[in-house]
Formats: sequence, C-alpha cells, structure tokens
Amino acid sequence: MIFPLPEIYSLPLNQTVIDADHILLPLELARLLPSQAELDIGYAGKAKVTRQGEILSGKGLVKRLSRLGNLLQWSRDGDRLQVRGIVLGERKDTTERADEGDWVTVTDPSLLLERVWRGDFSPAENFSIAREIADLSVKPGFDQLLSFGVAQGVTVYPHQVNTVRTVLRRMRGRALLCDEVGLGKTVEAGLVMMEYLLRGLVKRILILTPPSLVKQWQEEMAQKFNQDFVISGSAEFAATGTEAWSRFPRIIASIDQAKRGDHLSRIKGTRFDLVIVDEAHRLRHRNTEAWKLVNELDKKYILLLTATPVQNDLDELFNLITLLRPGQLKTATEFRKQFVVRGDRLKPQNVEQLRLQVSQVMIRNRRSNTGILFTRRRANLVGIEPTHEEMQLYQLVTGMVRQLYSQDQAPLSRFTLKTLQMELGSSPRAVASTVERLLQDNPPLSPRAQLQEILELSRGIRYSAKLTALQKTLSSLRGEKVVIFTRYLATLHWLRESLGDYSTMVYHGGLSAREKDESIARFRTDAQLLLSTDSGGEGRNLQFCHIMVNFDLPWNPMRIEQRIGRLSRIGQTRDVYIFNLSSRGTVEDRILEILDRKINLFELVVGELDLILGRLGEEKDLEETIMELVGTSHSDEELRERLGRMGEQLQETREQYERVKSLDDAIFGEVVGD
Amino acid sequence: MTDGIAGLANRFFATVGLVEPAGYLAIEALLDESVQPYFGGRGYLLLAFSPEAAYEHAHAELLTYGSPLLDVMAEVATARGNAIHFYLNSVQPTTGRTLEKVRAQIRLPGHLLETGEERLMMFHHALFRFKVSLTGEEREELFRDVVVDLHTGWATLQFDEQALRFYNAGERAVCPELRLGYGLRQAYQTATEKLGRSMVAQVNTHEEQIRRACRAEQRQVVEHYQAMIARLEGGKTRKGADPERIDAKVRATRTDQELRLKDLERRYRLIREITLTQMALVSYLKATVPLRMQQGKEVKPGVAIWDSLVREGYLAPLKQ
Repeated sequence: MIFPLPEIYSLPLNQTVIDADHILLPLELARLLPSQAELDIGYAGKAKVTRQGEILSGKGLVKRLSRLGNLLQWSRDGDRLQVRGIVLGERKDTTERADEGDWVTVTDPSLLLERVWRGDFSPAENFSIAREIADLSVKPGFDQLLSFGVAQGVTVYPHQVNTVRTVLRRMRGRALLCDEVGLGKTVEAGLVMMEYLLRGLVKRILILTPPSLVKQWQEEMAQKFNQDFVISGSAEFAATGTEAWSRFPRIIASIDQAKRGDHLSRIKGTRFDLVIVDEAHRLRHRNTEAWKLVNELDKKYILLLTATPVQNDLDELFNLITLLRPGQLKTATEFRKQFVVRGDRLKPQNVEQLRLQVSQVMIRNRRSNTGILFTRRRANLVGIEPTHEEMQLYQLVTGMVRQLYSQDQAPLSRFTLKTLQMELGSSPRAVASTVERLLQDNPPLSPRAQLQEILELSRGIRYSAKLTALQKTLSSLRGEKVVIFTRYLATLHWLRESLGDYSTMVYHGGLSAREKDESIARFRTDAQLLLSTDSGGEGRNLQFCHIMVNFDLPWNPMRIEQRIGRLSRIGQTRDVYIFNLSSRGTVEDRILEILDRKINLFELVVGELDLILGRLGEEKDLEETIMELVGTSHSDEELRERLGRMGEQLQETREQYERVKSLDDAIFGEVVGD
Repeated sequence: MTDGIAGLANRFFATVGLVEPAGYLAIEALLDESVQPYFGGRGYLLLAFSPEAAYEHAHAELLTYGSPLLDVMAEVATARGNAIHFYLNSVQPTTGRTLEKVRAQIRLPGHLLETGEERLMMFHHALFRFKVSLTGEEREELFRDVVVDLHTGWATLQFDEQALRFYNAGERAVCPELRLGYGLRQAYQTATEKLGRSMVAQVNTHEEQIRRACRAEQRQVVEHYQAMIARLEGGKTRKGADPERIDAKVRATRTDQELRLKDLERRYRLIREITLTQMALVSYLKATVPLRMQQGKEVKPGVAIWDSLVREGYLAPLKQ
C-alpha cells in the first residue's frame, strides 16, 4: 500500500441506518473506539456508542442525522467520535449561505481522496473530456456576458448590451429601465435575468405585471429565454394555496393579485432573488398598496420597467427611485427643495444635477441614440360597398346574435355568437364553415332554422365585393410581395382558391415547423403572396416584405399590432404599408374608424398600444367589450353611439399618453448606460 | 467557441451513448440509462450549436457557451472522469547542473554544502483541480491546479496542464527513492492552503470593492431614514399633533430602515468557495542531489530537487 489510510470515513446515511433510532457504525471505526464512547452529532446532539459499534439514542436520531446531509463523515478524535454531514448530489444554495471569513469547501473531498487511494481510476479520455467541458462551463465575471448565446430568436442591439452591462456592474442589479417604447425593455430585463441565472446568483424570481400582460410575459420568457414561469392565477398555482409563493421558484403575478389579503402576507414572507416590475409607473404613489408591497418585498435585485416614470408629479420619480435605493435622492422634502420648482410639481429645476443623480439607477435609451433605423407605417383604408346578398347575410347573423346574446341559457354560447359575428367580418365561407359544424351537433329548433338559412345564404354568395377590392389592391401593387392576414382558416383556403392567378404560399398554425419554414422560404424567394393566419408566426422574420393587407380585422387591437409587428420591426428598411379592407356599415368598419382615427393605431410605434390600452382599465380586453356592445345594443344606431363613446375614451387615453411622453422626454432626455 | 463546443459535445456524448449528426451544427444523442437522470430522465437529445441551427430544428436545445446544459455535461463528465494516474514519460530532465539551478532560486547563507551524486528519481504527486468561486455581487469562477509532491509536501500552482497530454497511463509505479511522507489528506490540506494564499490579492480587491459600495449605500440609507425620523419627531410639537400616531410611524420607519440595512448586508458579502473537481496522481522524473548541509555545528542531510516541468528547485530534509 503506497498511500496511508485516510483518517476519515464516509458512508451514505442510508447504508448505516438500522431503524429510525438505531445506527451501525463502520466496523473499522467501531473497532478503534472504546466502549461507551460519546458521539458528537454537532447541533443534532449527542449519543452513546455500544461495543458492537451501534449507536443508540432517543427518538429521531436518524432524522437528526439526516438533517446534516445524506453522507455522514465519521472521524475519531481520541475517545470522542465526531460526525459531520455532507450534502452530495446537489449544489448547496450559495445565495442563502451566511458569510464566512475563510474558504468554504462546497463538496467534501473524502470520496475522491479515497478513490485515488484505492487506485480506482477513470479512463484517460473521460478525464480529459471532463477537464475540457469544465473549462467551457466556467462562469466568467460580468465582463463577459453569457446571455446573448442562450437567448433564442432575439437580436441583441448595442444599446441593450450597454444597458445590461450597466445594470449588472454599475447599478448592481437595481435599476429603473425607462427606454422609449419599442426599444426592448423586456428583452433587457430578460438578459439581465439570464446573466444572474446562468451564474447561479439568482434562483427565485418574481415578475409583477398588469393582469393583461401576465400571459405575454410568460410566453416571452419561455420562447426567448427558455425559462418556465408559473402564473399566479393558474390552476396549478391556486391548487398549491398560499404556499405557492414560496414553492414555485419562478412566478409571474399580477400586482393586483399579489397585494390581496392572504397572498400579501405570504409574498412578503418569501425571499426573492430578483423582482421585475413591468409598467412600474403604477408604483408611483408611495401610499398605495402596490408601492408598499414592492417596498417590503424581501429582494436582492430589482428591475423596474416603465417608459413613463413621471406622469403627474415629480414625486413619482422620487418614489420609484426610493424603491431601488432609498436615499439616492435624499428625503422627499430635500428632493422637492432641490429639484422641483416651487408651486409647480411637474417642473424640474437643476435638471442637469437631477439627471446625474437619476442616472445612477436609471437608464433611458431613446430611438435617436440607438443608431437603429426605424421606418414609418402608412395605413390605407380600402372601403368596400357590400353587395345586397352580403348585407342580407350580415343583418341575418347580427340579428340572431343580438337575439340570443342576452338570453339566459341560450342554445348557442356567447363564444359561438362572438365567433359568428367576427367571421361575418371575414368571409361568407368562414361563416358557412362554423354554421355547418353547429348544424352537425343538431341544435334546438329555434336557432336551427336560422342557422339553416344563414348557411344557405352564405353558400349562395358568389360575388364578394371584398375579394374584388383585394384583387384591385393587389394589381395596383404591381408584383410587390404582400402578406395577407386573415383570422380564419376557412377564409385563408377560400382566398387561396380565389387568387389562383398569383403565386401564393400559405402559413397557419396547422403546418409543421418544417412546412412553415418552407412556406416562408418560398415566399421570400419565389412567391408574391403569403396568406397567413394570426397563429404561430410571431417569431418568423418577414422584414423582407413591407406591404400587408388586413383582409379582416381582429377586434383586439393587440392582435392587429402583432400582425403589423411581423413586418414593421427593427430590421425593416422600408416604410410599411398597411391596407385595411372594410365593408361599410359593419362592426369592423366602426372599430377601424376608432382605432385609426381616435388612437391612430396603425401608425403607433410598437409598444405604444400597450401603454394606451393599459390606461383604459383592466377588467376586460377590448374584444370582449366590443362583443358586449354588439350583443346588447338593440339597433345599429345604438351600437354606433356606444362604440363612439368608447372611441372618445380611447382618444382621451391616447392624448393623456402623449402628454406624459412629452413630459418625460423634457425631464430626462436620454440617460444612457455605460 | 461554437466549433469547440460542437466537437467536445460529440466526444462527450460518444462516451455516454450514441451520437449522430442531425444537419448543420446539430447532433442527436442517445443516452445510456446510467446518465439519463442527469438530463432530467431524457434518453434522447437533439442539440443545436448556434441560434440559427436551433431555429432550423424546431425542437432542438441550444448548446452554447453559457447554456445550462453545459453545466449538466460538466457534472456528468466530472463524475465519470475525476481520478487518474499519469506517468509523464515525456519529462526527461538532464543532470549536471542541478544544485546550481536550485541555488539560483534558494539562498542558503552560512551553510557549507557537501554534495553527493546527481540522480534522476521518480516522484509521485497529487494533482488537485479546484473550482474556485468568488460570489459577491457577481460570480466569478476559475479553475486552479495545485500539485503537491507526496514525498516532501512541496506544492506548486505552476504545473503546466499541457504536460498531461504526453503520458503513459499503463506503466506501473517504480519504487520511489524517497519515502512517501505525505498522505493524500495532508496533501489536500497543503493544496487548499496554497490555493488560498495565491488568491489573497484577488479576494482583497473584490472585498474592497464590495465594502466601498456597501458603505456608500449604507450611508445613504441611514441618512434617508434618519431625516425621515427627525421630520416625524419634529411634528410632535405641532399644534394638534397625535404623539402616539407619530411614534407608531417612527417605529415603522425604523423597521423599514432595519430591513434595508439587512438587505444590504446580504447583498454585499463575498463568498469564497472551492470545490475539488478532479484529482490525479502524477509521476515523473526529477533531478536530485543528496546534500549535507552544515551550519555551525549542526549538520542536516537533505536533498536538492530540480523540477524541470515547472522549472523550480526546492530542498527537502532527509530523516537521519
């Protein structure tokens, strides 16, 4: 034997247990001990050792030992026996560990020392591969960012790289990200999150957003960063009860839910390594439950995201920054004295000094300083006079929807009625397809007769004014590539049949990944038209095309925004032209008027719509609100009037947003990263 | 870097299962049952080595610098290849000037030296590969090899890892001329001490940065809350003031301050960790010269050793 026997013995706990209160020591160790030796189990207590090497103790010995680890290390110190627990198989959570003056040994070396001592060697190739992989997996400091390699489908721009570096290094993970809309604050927050995650500095993450954005955040985190978050409103979360806050490591919650009663105490008692708050201007008032909640959260790093940190009062800025770093702007009184013009709470003084103070914790990139080319969007309305048959179908379906919508226990669900009403704005073929399915289910007599009539009428329409308008629009575009969006598959197939003269590709959620890729590739190289539904195409790059047609119009403006966003995004080099086809006198016609005239939707910058709609309130999305109006209005006049009121409200919200945007621009200008 | 990862992944997965190319910069791997638990119970992996390749293969997992999968691979690889014995047959030191080379590095003032015949001798060493992590506001990891001579306890951080490329693992050990005086645990202890000493400057720099930032934030927090408390206390003298209510507010402010300070304490601390990831016994020849070192009336036998691999000389006493 070349090497001396180690002084320490290690054995897995489960190999030494006889029963819950009874343990057998390694024999070679037992032999060395005097009988009745005392065993020191550290904070787990003391026990006696018998001559046979058995340890007898009171109840719970094994439980007490197992708290030490799953591998027990025994060592002899004269007549005393010491035991130390080691956790094998999982890395200790360094973020929870108390500070220690000296080096901490993460794993016990005994097993490896013993292995070498026994001459139990690995194949040379394995040893060499292990060294090489370990070298590649080593985590460097923040000089070298890791997240760009793992983010999928994300083009990272220089302003984002600067932002990430500044947040990590200078701001030490506590920052207010106030980029202008459309510059990718979510991506920046995601990249910062990944830098921490990849280095093991963060394990527990809480994202707080307005309710309408919860799902969007979940999707973005999964698609772009491969991180699964549980939503606090999900069944899975609810089933776990209030414990869920501490049980799930990654949670997305609406701030409204988090601040409610029993959740509040749980969430406050939970430690989070990283908290991200989207639309953080909602935390601008210090006396609100939302501000207090975020202030009291036990958190290591925090990112506040908003494009408009100041809305009505400069105190709002003070309150936001106090969440990140209390004292950065001194006290509220001193802040006002130094930075706010007396008598006008919105007017800053010592602006340069204020920007300097704020720049310690805030980054605001503006389009003008990113060096990225942003092109304009140009909307064109193609008004269509529907034919007599089309109008007849419209009246028939709308009449049935109004009749059934408010009925208790109506034979058709509200969802079905909404679908029919929306399909009506798409094509007779889409209506027919749904009605056929409904009739197959053998509905009660009352709607059956109406449905039958609708089916016959929709099948009988041979001439479509909308299709003609589309063909005219296409011929005026003289061979340019065009993406035509429709909500419904039935409409997509009908259009493909009807546009036989054009080389056309289709794209919808029913295609496999390979078929989707092929479709886009052929559209890029050969085909003139791409017929696409809304589903499944968000990540696909269509910037090579700059003309789109909305053959039908989703009622939810966010969907319209997503359509436009597939062409009009960073990387597009030409102005994007949007043709909206709309049949006069229909619901879509009025929605279009509101979205175009009142909030100028089609020419908004990406991301601005979120802000405008976010100010409307949270209860329902716009699609539901519109359906409610359609279903409960007794006449077209009443519907027009109610939609008009909604439009006024949207217009007011947009104007309010514009005021706030100008104010923030005036106060902050650009506050860029390093 | 990507090519490096792709090549390495191919080699690694070939040792734990089967690998097939799956197009440009992508592979499929079938895993042995023994390693499946590390990969979340999966027996099949489709891996892409660039975002473009991941995009091409809708279900592929991106394996690149920073990918969590790389950590899993490192864990598996380390578990399967953490101990070895190398005979470095490429190390062939020359004799003739051994004492001269050693004395160029080690001064022995006032000693009279009597030398014996220079010889080449096989030395056995323990090579410890440590993963060093400094975790403060950021985490920095690095690997350090510490080699300890198991005969004398001499330790070095200068070991050239390239030397491990030229070895012969099949030869058996020859009996060392020097007695093995060092146990593996003792060598481990020596290695960790050596490592700790070598990291002092780096640790101090980190700690100083952290301390400075922490102090600045602590000062801001204390000033902020003290000003708030002073303002609240001042309100007691106002007409119609409710002292109890004000006291309650002061208490709440103090609690908030404590929370913030605790928070800072937790954020600003440096955790220094070492993990022994691999170990090797490394045996190679060194040039030695037996010595009699006389200082005054005291005579000590010893040996001067020249390590041609790290180009370092050292002296070891011999038991009389």
